Amino acid sequence: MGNVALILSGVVTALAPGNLVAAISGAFMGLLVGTMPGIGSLAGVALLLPLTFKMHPTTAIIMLAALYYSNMYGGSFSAILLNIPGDSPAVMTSLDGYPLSKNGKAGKALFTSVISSFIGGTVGVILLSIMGPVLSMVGVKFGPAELTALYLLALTSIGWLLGDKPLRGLQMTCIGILLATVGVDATLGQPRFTFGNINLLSGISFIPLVIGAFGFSQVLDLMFNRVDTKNISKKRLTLKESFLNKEELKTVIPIALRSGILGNFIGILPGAGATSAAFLGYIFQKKVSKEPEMIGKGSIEGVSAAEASNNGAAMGSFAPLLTLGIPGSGTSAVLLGGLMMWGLRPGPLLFTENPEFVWGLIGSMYIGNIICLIIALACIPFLMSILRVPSAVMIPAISTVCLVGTYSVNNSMFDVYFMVGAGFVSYLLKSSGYPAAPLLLAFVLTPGLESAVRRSFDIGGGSARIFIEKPIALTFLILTLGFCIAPTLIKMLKRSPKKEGRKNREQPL
Amino acid sequence: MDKITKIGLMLVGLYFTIKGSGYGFWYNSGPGGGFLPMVIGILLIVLSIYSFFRGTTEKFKKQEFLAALKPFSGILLTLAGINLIGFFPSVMLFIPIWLIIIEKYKLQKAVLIDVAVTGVMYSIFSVWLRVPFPSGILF
Repeated sequence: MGNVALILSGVVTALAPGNLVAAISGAFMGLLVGTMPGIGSLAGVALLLPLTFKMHPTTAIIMLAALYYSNMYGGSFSAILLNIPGDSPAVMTSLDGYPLSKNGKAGKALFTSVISSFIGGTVGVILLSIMGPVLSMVGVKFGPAELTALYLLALTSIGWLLGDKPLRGLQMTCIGILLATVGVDATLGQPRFTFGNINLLSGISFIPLVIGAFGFSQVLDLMFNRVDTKNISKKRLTLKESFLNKEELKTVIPIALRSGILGNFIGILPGAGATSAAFLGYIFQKKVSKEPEMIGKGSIEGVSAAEASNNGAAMGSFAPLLTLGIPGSGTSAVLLGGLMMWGLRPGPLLFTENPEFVWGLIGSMYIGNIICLIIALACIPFLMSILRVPSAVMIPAISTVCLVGTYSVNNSMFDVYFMVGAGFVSYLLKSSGYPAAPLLLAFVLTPGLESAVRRSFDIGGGSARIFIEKPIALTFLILTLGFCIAPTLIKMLKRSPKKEGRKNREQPL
Repeated sequence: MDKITKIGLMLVGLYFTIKGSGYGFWYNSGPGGGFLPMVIGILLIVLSIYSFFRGTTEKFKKQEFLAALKPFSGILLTLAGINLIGFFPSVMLFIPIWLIIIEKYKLQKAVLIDVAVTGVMYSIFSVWLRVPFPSGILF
């Protein structure tokens, strides 16, 4: 009951005119920043931080937090409509969102994305309100050994992304892992595969790689395979036409709830972030779906899982930030800087020493989520008009967005050159049947895995026993082993002697 | 083309394996900087050799490839233009030139589209977010 009263007092604080205006402004800017490829929530929050210096701390954090989680809503828009993820967590959304858009179901995809983001975000904030301190304590129990096992579990899921050419998918996974090793080795401080180029010392940037692999390669493909916009109705599309029907809602709501919880948990883990949450939520959905073959080819299930997970994670990352002072993602690290700048010391005492601040922020998340939902839904008819733009205009326009978006990430022309090169190579690989998704998943997970493995061995004095001695790590390792062996075992059990000859055409993964 | 891609992937694996061996396979009590590149590099070589001899072969789509070269060349020229006249002027020239020469749009329409696209981009990135876009040798 105590928590309910505190949340209500937080909602009252959030509804104060100044705070409400801050939440609306933050949500609006977050949507805009999220839609623009390259900027992302980290840069958005960092850019807005100086503007909040003179604000009251509660108002300032409400504005920045609104920008952060509404950014997750906006990232999916360009992913669905243009196949350019606005930010890295939206990569998984584009896998199903863009095919849906190409099949004339962009409205449904956008609506699914918005409603799933809302559900995922709301689940996240409810969990944060009720169990924030407890959850962050669980997160702290995740040492290098547990994280290694979790990353290994996540890597096994690549198998579900390999597509109908598993050999090529595996090759792309290898490329993703190898590309992730470029740059200074975080543990040993040794530069690797940098060709003496100073720009590669910090490794290959994810956003230029994503914009190249998805956005620019799409432009090159569009040149030959043009979209026929003449068939798209000239009349203004209404929001009603984008609504999901009863059956679709029945499918989406449970997925969004489940993915929101999963994403929230991933968001709490230090260093995991919304991108890993979106990947894992998507993969988990593919595993449990009744129609797994449809995910990746234009399924609202895939859009829902990815969006609910990344919004749940965005909320989850506030738990360790507020209760322990540990940022769960890059963006929450900037927010931590902001909290310190306002003279607040995040940690267990923050809830007792500054209850108005903490509960005001949590209360604003409920309000802010509703604001995001309303703004995002209102944008759908306008966004749909993008689909009527002919390919002839889309080619130079998307190219421009790719160039400007990539440059803005690090203000680096090297990133732009890299994006163009990555786009061309991706186009060649894609036209030869090599999928891009396994490469990106491996690229995201590898740095965390490599660092966690090293630290585990350091703690264990060179012994691998650390992975068996820790119960959480052992559980994840058993699950990993199970996921690797289970498909083969199931296949062997299903294969009767009579059918053996005919079953040879079964999918290898 | 597919065979060339497979050979290319094999060479990438070979490069990471050889270069990775210089970073050390094992360092003190744990994996060294070359551990992951060597293991994965060798795996990529094996997969690429298998794929070269036993895998399926994709047909090279020459027409599609030639079409894709047009926007790629356009962007390369834009990048060259950035060094000469700066980021936004170069991007601003790319759109109407593309629309007029490749897509056969009329000058007026091409300029209108150009102003709309680059105007939005400039307002958000340069004015609002204050991204310092590079200038060229001339401007």
